Amino acid sequence: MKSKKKTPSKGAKSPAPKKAAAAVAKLTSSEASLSLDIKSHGLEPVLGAAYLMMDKAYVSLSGDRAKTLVVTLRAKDPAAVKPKALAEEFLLDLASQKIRWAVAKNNLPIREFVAEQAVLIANGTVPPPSAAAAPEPAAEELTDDQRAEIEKLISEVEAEIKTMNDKKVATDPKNIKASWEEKQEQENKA
Amino acid sequence: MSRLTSFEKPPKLRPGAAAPHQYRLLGKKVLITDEHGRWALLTPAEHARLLAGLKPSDPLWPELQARGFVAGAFDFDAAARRQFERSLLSWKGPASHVLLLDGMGLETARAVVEFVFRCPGPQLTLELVFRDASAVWAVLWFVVQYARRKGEWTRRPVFLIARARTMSPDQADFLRSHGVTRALTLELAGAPVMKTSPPFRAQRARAVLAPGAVEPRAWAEWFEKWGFESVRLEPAALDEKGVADFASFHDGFLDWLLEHGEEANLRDEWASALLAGRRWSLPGMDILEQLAYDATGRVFASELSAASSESCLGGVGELRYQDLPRREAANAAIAASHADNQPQCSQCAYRPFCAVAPSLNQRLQSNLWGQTPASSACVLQMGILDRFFSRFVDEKWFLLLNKWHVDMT
Repeated sequence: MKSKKKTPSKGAKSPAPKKAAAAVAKLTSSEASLSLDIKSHGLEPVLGAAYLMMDKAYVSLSGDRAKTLVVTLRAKDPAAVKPKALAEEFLLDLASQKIRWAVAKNNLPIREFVAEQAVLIANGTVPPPSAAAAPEPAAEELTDDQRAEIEKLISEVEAEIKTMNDKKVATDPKNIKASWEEKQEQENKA
Repeated sequence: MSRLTSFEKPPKLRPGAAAPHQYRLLGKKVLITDEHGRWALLTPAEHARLLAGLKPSDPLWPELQARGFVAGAFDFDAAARRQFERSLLSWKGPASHVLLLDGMGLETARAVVEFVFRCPGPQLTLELVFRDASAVWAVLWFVVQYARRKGEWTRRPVFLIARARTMSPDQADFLRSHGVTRALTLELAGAPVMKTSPPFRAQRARAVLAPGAVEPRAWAEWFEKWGFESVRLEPAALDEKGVADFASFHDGFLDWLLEHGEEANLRDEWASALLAGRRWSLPGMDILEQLAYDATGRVFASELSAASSESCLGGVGELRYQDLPRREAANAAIAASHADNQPQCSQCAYRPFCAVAPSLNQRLQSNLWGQTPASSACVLQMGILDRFFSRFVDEKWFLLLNKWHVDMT
C-alpha cells in the first residue's frame, strides 16, 4: 500500500489555518491519519470535528488524549471521497470547531450566570439588577443611605414574596394535582 | 464541508468580545443566532470583526449590541428572563394532545379526555386524528362535546383540531359549529387540477409530496382557491431523494407565497411554526410539547412514536400525570431533546428553531439521540431554515411573516 507523509495545507486550494500546520497527515489509498497535538488544537475541537465526519467516514481515534491524538478517517464510500479530501475537510472543520469552542468557552461565565438567574426567577426570587445593567436615572440622585435603606426594604419584600410562594407551592392552592372528579366533588360540596 | 459549515479562512479570534452565539454560512453571509432566536445576518468580514472584538465606534455596534451579541453590553436580566420563559423552568405541561381515534371506543375516549385535562397547562390543544369521519363519528362527536364541556368547567381555553382524509359536508359543518379546526391530510401527486375540489372544506392541510409531485406554484394556487389558510408540506420519504424533492418543491411554494403574499390568505406552516416557536404544531418536541394517545388508551411521547412500545408511557387508566417524569421513556426523550446534550446541536445556528424530535431520530436511526451528521431529518429542517433565513434580505418576506404573526425583526 502506497503511503506518504505530508502536511495537508501544502498544495490545498483553500488555505488551511495556521495551527493546522501542526497536524501531520499520513495518506494511504484507503485512509487518512492525522496526528494532532492536543495542546495546540484542544481536545474538544478535535473530538467535535471527528464527530462531524461521521456521515462520510468511519473515524477512529487513538493515542494519548492529553498529548497527541491520531484521527484515522476511512471513507464510507471510497469511490466518492478520497482520503486527501477527507483530511482537508477534517482540518476545515477542526478550524471551525476551534472558533466555536473558543466562543463557547469565553462565554461560559455569561451562560452560567444567566442560567443561575433563570433558576432564581423560577424559585420566585427576583434577580437583583446585574452589574452590567445601566442604573436607573432616578437612582443616580439617591444618597448612599437612601440606597441602603431601599435595598434593605427590597430584600425584606423579596423574602416575604419567597415565603408566600413557598407556602403556595406546598399547599397547591390552585388544586392542580386534583383530578377533575375531585374538583367537581369539592365544588359540589361548596 | 460538514453540516455546521466551516470557514475556509477562519477569522482571528480575540477572546471575550462576542456574546454567546452560534453561526452558519448562508451563501455569502454569516447567520448568527443566540439560543433564544435573536439573529443577525453579517458578512464574513463583519463576523470576523465581532469575533475579534467590536469597538463602540464600530457601525455594527448599535445593531449587535441591541440584539445581545456583544458581551460587553450584555443584558443579563433580559437574558435570564428569556431563559426562564423558554426552558423547562417555566414548563406548564404539554400543550398539544394527539388522539388517534381510529378504533377507539367511547370509554377509552372518555378516559383519554380526562387524562388530557389533568395536564396543568393554561390551555390545551386536542388534535383528533382519523381517516374517515364516518368510521369514528360516535367517538369524534363525543370527544368534541366532552372536551368543550370540560374546557368550560375548568375555565381553560381548549383548541380542537380534526385531521382527516375524508368527512361529509354535514360532519364538517358540525365540527365548524363547535369551533373545531378542520385539517385535511392529502397526497400531492403530479400537478393540481384546479376544478377538482378537496374532499372537504378545511382550513389547514398536511400535504405529503408523492414522488412526482410537480408545479408547487400551481399547488399553492389550488390551496388558495379552495380556501385553505395554511399548508404543511411533508416529504414522501426522508431519504436523499425525498429531501431533495421536498426542498425544490417547498422553494417554489414559498416563491408563490412571497409573490402573492399581500392578497393571499395562505401561509406556510413550517414558517409560522418554526420561526414563531410554536413547535407544538409540528411533529413535536416529545412530551414537552406533545403527548399522543392510541386507540387502546396508551400514552406515547408523541404522535410519531405512537407505534413504538419503547415510547409508551403507560395507559390512561393507570398513569397519573404527575408520574410522567418518573417514566424512563420520558426521561430519555427529554434528555435527548435538549440541544446542549448533543455535540452538533449545541453549536447549531438553528437550535432555537429546531423541531427534530427524539421520536423522529428513533424512527429514522433507531436511536432517540440520533446521529446528527447523518440525519436526514436534520438535513430537511436545516434546509427549510436556510430557505427562510436567506430570504431575509427581502423586505417582502418580513412583511409576509408579520402577516402570519411571526415577528422576526
